[in-house]
Amino acid sequence: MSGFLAKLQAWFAPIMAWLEPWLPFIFTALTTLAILLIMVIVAAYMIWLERRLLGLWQDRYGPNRVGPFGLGQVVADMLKIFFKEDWVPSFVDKPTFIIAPVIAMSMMMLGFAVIPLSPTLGVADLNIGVLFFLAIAGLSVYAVMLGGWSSNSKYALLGGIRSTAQTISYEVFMGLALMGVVMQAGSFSLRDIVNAQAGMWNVIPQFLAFLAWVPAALAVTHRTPFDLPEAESELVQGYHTEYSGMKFGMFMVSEYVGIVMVSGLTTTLFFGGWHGPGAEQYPILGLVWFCAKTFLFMCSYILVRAALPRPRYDQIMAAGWKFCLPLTLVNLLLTAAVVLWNSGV
Amino acid sequence: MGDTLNLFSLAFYVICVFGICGLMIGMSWLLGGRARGRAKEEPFESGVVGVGSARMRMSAKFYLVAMFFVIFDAEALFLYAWAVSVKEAGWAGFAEAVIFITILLAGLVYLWRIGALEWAPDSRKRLKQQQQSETK
Repeated sequence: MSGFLAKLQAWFAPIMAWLEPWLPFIFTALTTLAILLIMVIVAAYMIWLERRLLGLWQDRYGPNRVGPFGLGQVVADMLKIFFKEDWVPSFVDKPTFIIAPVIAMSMMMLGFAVIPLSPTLGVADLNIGVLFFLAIAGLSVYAVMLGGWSSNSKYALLGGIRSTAQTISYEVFMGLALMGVVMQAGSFSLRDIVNAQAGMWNVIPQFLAFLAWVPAALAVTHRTPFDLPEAESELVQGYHTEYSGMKFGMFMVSEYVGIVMVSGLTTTLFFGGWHGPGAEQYPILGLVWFCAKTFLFMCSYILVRAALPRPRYDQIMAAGWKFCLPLTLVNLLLTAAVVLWNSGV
Repeated sequence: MGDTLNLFSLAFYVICVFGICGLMIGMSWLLGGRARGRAKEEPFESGVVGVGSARMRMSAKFYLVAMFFVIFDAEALFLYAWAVSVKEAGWAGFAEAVIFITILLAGLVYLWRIGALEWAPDSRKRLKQQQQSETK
């Protein structure tokens, strides 16, 4: 027996020796893949969570038939949607029509790449993290715009145009709101921003920025009360009226991936990321803290949907341009003054 | 080494993301059924037969918003660069930023005053003024 083991070892030794320099790459690849898959699965289960929580808050059950607590509902829905017709209507602009849901989903997933999950964990540690996120948020506008335009349908076009105008309006001050946080950390890197919050979470000194960030974060994911692009009471389904099957599913899932991504970002930027009691000694506890905080924000998205009605379009635009934009500019100056005062230049 | 791993991780992530998207599109194309219908090739308009095409004229308001976005976002970009170098720029840089932001805000106030940020049509605005004058 031991002879067999020794033979096996001798046989594997050259492979291991050859593999040795590649081990960190393999390890990194596996971690990256695990983060991505877990994030997508969590996003898919957001659908279940949302339906259950909305049920709870509206005095009904929500999905509770498939599996324990209805947990199998997501799997069942996913299997079903894979077998639905992958229909491209004859009146649409075909390439754009197919690319739009891919952009929607991939951009939201890409945004997660810069978020540090724990002191040691995270996909990539970019020194332009915040800029990367802003670029991704800017690109995700194309999904809605192209989806609405290529559908060649009036409802879809109206939804797409509305959404584009709304999202770009909110993007202007979303970037400016984040600059206060950047100033305090002195870096665009999200890891540096988390490290700078060791003493105090950014939500306290940057409360004004947080006030502007909340509506911007809701607008970037097209969630209620900022879901005017898909206001079903007036625009059927907005920009994805003509979509069906998996392409519609991708728009749907991208919304939930967006919630996970933006919740993670809110945690990172304003609520200290992985910081929490004991996180310095045990890095794994940092991950737990990060997940707990992110989960809280994910639930608050659903609470906002359950609690708030949808405002009028002009009210949304007015709130963005007339309130949030001046607010973030003032916050920027205040933060700069405080930072300069403290550094004693 | 750390940098290479970092970039490798990001590149791998990007490939996986597009892989998943491609897989979802490809799988549903492969697995989905095919069906024909009489009114299937018409754009959905809540059951009403559509009139004209969707290439219609939109309110100029939306183009105005797009222009504001370009103006304000381009100006915000200068502030991004300032945000990471506040300490290096010092109080002199702060004074310049104050001037810059004041001009930015003055532009916003101007747009506000000329009604560029109003969405209601003029007729509704006149109605509102009428109501106000009646209550007075």
